[in-house]
Amino acid sequence: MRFIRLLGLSALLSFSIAVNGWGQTKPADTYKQLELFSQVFEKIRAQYVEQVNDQELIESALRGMLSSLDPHSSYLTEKEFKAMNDEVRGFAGLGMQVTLEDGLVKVISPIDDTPAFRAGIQPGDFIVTIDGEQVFGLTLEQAVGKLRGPVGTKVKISVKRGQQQPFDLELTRETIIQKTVRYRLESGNIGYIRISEFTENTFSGLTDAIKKLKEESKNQLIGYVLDLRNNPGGLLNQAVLVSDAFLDKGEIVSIKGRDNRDNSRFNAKAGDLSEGLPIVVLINQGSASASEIVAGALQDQQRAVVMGVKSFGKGSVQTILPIAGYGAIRFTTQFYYTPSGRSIQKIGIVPDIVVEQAKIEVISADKSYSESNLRGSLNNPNGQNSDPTNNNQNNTQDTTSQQTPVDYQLQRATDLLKGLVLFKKAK
Amino acid sequence: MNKFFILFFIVCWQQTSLAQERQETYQKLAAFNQAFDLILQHYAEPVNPQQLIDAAIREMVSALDAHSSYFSASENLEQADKNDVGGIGIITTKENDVLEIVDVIEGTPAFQANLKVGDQILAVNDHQLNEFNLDTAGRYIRGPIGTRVVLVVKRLDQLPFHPPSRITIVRQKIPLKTSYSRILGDNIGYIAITTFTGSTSKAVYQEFQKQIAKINQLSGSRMQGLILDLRNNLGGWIEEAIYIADAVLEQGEIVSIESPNKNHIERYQAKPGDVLHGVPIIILVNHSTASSAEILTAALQENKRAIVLGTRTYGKATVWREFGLNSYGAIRLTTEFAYGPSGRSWQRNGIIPDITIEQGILRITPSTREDTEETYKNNLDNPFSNDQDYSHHQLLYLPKADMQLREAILLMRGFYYLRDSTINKK
Repeated sequence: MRFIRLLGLSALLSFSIAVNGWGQTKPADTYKQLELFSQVFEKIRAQYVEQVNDQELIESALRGMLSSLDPHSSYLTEKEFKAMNDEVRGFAGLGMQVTLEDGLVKVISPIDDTPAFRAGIQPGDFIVTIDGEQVFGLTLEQAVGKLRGPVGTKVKISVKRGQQQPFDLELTRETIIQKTVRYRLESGNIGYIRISEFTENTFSGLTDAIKKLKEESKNQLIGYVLDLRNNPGGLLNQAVLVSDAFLDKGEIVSIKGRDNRDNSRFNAKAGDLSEGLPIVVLINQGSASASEIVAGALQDQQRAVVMGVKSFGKGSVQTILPIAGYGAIRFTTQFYYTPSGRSIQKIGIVPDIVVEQAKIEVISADKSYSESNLRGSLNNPNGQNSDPTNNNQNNTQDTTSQQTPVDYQLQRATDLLKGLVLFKKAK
Repeated sequence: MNKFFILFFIVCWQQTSLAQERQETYQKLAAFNQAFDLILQHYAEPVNPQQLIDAAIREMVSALDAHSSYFSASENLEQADKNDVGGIGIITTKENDVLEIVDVIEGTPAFQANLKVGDQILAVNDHQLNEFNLDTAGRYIRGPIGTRVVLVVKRLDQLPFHPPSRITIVRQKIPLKTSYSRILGDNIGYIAITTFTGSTSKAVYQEFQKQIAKINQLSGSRMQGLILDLRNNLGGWIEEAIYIADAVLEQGEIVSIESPNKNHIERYQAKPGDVLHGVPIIILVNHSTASSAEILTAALQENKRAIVLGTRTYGKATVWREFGLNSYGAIRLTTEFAYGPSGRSWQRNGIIPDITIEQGILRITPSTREDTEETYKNNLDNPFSNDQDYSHHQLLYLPKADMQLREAILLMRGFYYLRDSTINKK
């Protein structure tokens, strides 16, 4: 359940605080209730019809207790915890997406700028041996386990490509983290930046994107579109950094728990990477938590216009606490508040400009009749005549907009930036 | 102001003494006379000399260009009293797939029947209106003067469970209305100019000024921007376009009119003063925005006073004048070329909008997901309240069946929100 993610950076901080408080000042009632739990546990162990696994029982109890709190509190098994950690914080590996085919590891694609990518691994390559051990007979999970290992260690693989003889490669493992920021120039001068999730590399991906966009546009950017649609959230600190990138000053977000110790406020530091250029933030129903923090901060600070449809509405922060020998517990520890002091819990970010994703059914205007089609119409005195048999000659925008699949929301965002420049130049 | 302002002006043909260089021309006319006489005398059947002359002039004039033409005396009369069709005096929109009244002209039958802006017309003379026949609604409503039309109307102020009202209205001659206006959402002004041909020489301009005053009054003088709708405006008097351009321009050239025959160019400059005090203007255009409407569009686009949105315009950058031919009707001749302030002619090419939007109907793509925080069982309540008031976000009026107007409103809204952002000066 990706969209219920909002991991606090506070996770680690809260962890130490929580340990200090662990086991202290439990009122008598609580002991009684814990005793009840112990009795039930003992009964099950002693008398259940089959032998039970203690750890599984405890994990089930933890799962039940946490999920009774709210939809975002849960117990994570060790495996779930690791998978989540790998996703948001990265893992040590080679950087390729793989699958198992005919008993061998087949590369789907190498991830840009990783050891696998730099070594020239190509989609469709088969990995035959890992550190001299045959892959054949291993499960995918076992094979992946062997490819991964501590950062800086080396792994030797032999690769079979097409009909060629297998060849050996030695790669050094690095921290691999999926790219969460993509960018491209729209119309030559609009910086389109898509953030798919907030992980450890999101902010660095964003700064890189802004730098590259400035270069590619030869410093002619007129504005940015920040696409947070279907972004389920992620790390709180990354949301703060991303907001800060576009803000010069002022509050970004404040988080408040039951106890003042758990409260904090994040303020923007001086410097706006986007140099004050207009920003359109796109959101939709799949934009949650960390995405809503960014949209809320830029909206309340009037730094961006928020466009799209109402967002998911998750206004809470979760803390993750690993438990030695078990997985981790994730539970809601704070609500967050946008700079104007509102909570978006169950309300969502309401866009400044509501634009639903849509298709336009073009009403085919009668284009056959225009000056250029009239018999004996006078030529253009400037000397550039459009061809009467081709009405779209000077209107190529028309034809392209009909042929390519159109992202209606994104188009509205880019049109707004184009229009804004025309309007501002008029002044 | 001089004669070049005038598009429809009828100038009496002057029998000036033509110079000697036209001597040759007269020799050619002699040939025409000869042919005329021969036909009258020798043609197999008797012919009507008036018809022959009409045919000859018509063919000669139409050999020139598409906008030059000849009206015989009888056609001229027909044109004069063509207008015996009656109406009820409402202006409607079908922006949201229903026929909704956007303006009621004062003193008309609709005004007397107390029809109001926002009322929806559900049926006309027992023709139920739906999204497929909205375009024909106007034809149902209009009819001979003095006849009755029965409307089924859902009043804006009526309670939801109240049945729609049936209203019978007698059609009358409706005074020509050249523009109408309203407020869209948060103080966005909207004025549609439907023609530049008014009943008097300044009628269109004066009506435009009245619309501005009305919008200022309705918005408490807080107009955020003006959407100027010139779609389907086929033109009219050039001077009206120039007056209106001047009203919103502080300075700069409006248009230049060149008479190649007379080797003369007349340039029209804007005088200081902007009735809109610099608020953004978006002009809506389409394939049927022509002639004087193109002059106004080009003037505001090239002076960077307005953003042009819609589809490429018609492409008529010529000016014609009408000359009366004593008792023989009139000829309409293309006499001048119009150029935008930058010297551009849009003849045949049309004006390309800054933002091209095809007209269309919005079909919302259903969301692929239904879950939100609110749909979860066991979710936490908002620390303040679960239903905070965001009604100010819903004030925005957005048409579903007019994508060009919809886009213009979205842009105006966005300009307002992003007004403090910088632009790249490099």
